[in-house]
Amino acid sequence: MLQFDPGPVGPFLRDKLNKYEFSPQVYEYGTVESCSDDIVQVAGLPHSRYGELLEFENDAYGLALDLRLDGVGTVLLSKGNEVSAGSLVKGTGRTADICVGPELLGRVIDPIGRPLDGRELHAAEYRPVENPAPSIMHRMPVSRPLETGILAVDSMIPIGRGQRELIIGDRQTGKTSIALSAMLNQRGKDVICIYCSIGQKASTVAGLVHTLSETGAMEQTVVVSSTAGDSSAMQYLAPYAGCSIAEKFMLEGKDVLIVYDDLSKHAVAYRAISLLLRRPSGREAYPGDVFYLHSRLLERAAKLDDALGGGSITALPIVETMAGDISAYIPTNVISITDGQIYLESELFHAGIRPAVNVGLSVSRVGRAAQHSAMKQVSGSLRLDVAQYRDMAVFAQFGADIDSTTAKLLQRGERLTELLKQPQDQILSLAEQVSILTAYAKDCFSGLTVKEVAPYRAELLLYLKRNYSDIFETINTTGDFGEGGKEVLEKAIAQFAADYGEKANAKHQ
Amino acid sequence: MQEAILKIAPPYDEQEVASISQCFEKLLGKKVQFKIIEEPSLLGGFFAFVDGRVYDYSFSTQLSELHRSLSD
Repeated sequence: MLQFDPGPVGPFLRDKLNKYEFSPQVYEYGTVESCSDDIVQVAGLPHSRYGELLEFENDAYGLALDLRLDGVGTVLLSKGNEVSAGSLVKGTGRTADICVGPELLGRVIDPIGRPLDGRELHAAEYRPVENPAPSIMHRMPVSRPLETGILAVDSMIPIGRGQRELIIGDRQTGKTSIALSAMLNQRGKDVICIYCSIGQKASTVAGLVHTLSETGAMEQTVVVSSTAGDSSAMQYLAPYAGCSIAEKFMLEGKDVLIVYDDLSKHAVAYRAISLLLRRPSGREAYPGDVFYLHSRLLERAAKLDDALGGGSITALPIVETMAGDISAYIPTNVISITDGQIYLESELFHAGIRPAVNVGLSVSRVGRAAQHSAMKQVSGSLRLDVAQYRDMAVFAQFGADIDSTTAKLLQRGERLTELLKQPQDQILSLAEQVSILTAYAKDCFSGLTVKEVAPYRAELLLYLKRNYSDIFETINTTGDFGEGGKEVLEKAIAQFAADYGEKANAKHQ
Repeated sequence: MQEAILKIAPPYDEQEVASISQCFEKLLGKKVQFKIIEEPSLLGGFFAFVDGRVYDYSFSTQLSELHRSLSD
């Protein structure tokens, strides 16, 4: 049986009671005038600040978002059935804050820091949810790559540490999958991941947490979750809260990857709040400051200079489009804020090309500056090849006569498309990606049918991993081929191609 | 003259209210006219709403503060 020793408790309580002093509480108050749709109009509180947390009776909290001469418009952070008209409101004097620090790793929390995974959370430090972005003088150019483990992305749309790369596409095109792969690829590396779910289904978030836990990537991940059932205010706060957690790690000199999934739902939540607060609406009924809503969030992603520890926040915001329309209001806003976008197309997705990246419309404005030298050497004309092939393929569909150059281009393109297909659970290391592209550059795949490409690639990688693990090791750790490494790799690939050809011939005979 | 609300725990007498009024007069530099509400849930002490501020001198708040400090 569990033994309980009451010995030290008595003196401890007595000591606390002896220290007690009568301390009257004096504070400003307001009274609730009305409460509907999670919006509470409060009379009084003349000195409350924008973004201040207000405490209602029954332990409900609200966020002051609308300051007037005679009162405050607040939005409730919990569901609003506990607030009654005439009840007392107290200003807390602090703005919304969130627990930060290493205790959060491996945890799932809501945007005000309450744990959602059933375990207790004791954080030592708190940080305001809204913080100014690092100034110009404290930033450095983005120069180090953040590998996603996806060949199509790392080779053609490289992402750097400190960059903001938008993932945009229709529903069900694999946007979250790309972000998830990028997070899974950080397993065992020095990058901390933060996943902010904004208005997602709880089941989707649960599935994602399950995948992360199963693969062991959860240990260096924090999930900030506001699901579709949470109040608009929670959904509005979630990305800022996630960013504050990321900033704490960044200021400690660490590299952080943060995924905002997704900002279109964030804009919708903010639109709901704004309309209910009776702010004037603009295009698509969004309020006037919807651009600022996202720009101030994404500006907080940065690469800090060495004086501040050299940490970084890489942001991967996700935006969902309707029927491929990237010229809608929120998509254009976020495209113009970010340093590039990965555009996913449902047509490609349904044609079996996964990840369904449209290379023509995808760009990374940081580009080659943030690519390992090994990757730089082999991925040079890849974008052009893919784009040319997609153009050509459209014309070839008409069945017109094509000359031999075009035929060759089409044939190469088909194989390249096949090479860039990658199942979600298959993450490629830098060395594997470089080997595949070297083999492509050496035209190893032209003798194969399209169906043979995937097994050939798998065998090639297995062969190289077995026999040339030292080169793989060098590429993965230094990001470079090392002296003479490229020639050795090319020879090895040629050797494999010759062996494979012989085997195939033997099979035919 | 400042109008204000005074929630006070029973039992109380005129003298107590008068001394409370005096204290607030000193604090604010003007006369305060209290509307008195009896509030047994305060257990003791009073709760004054004056000039947009709450002056919470109630026993119930003190006890809940003590409860919080003991359970921390």
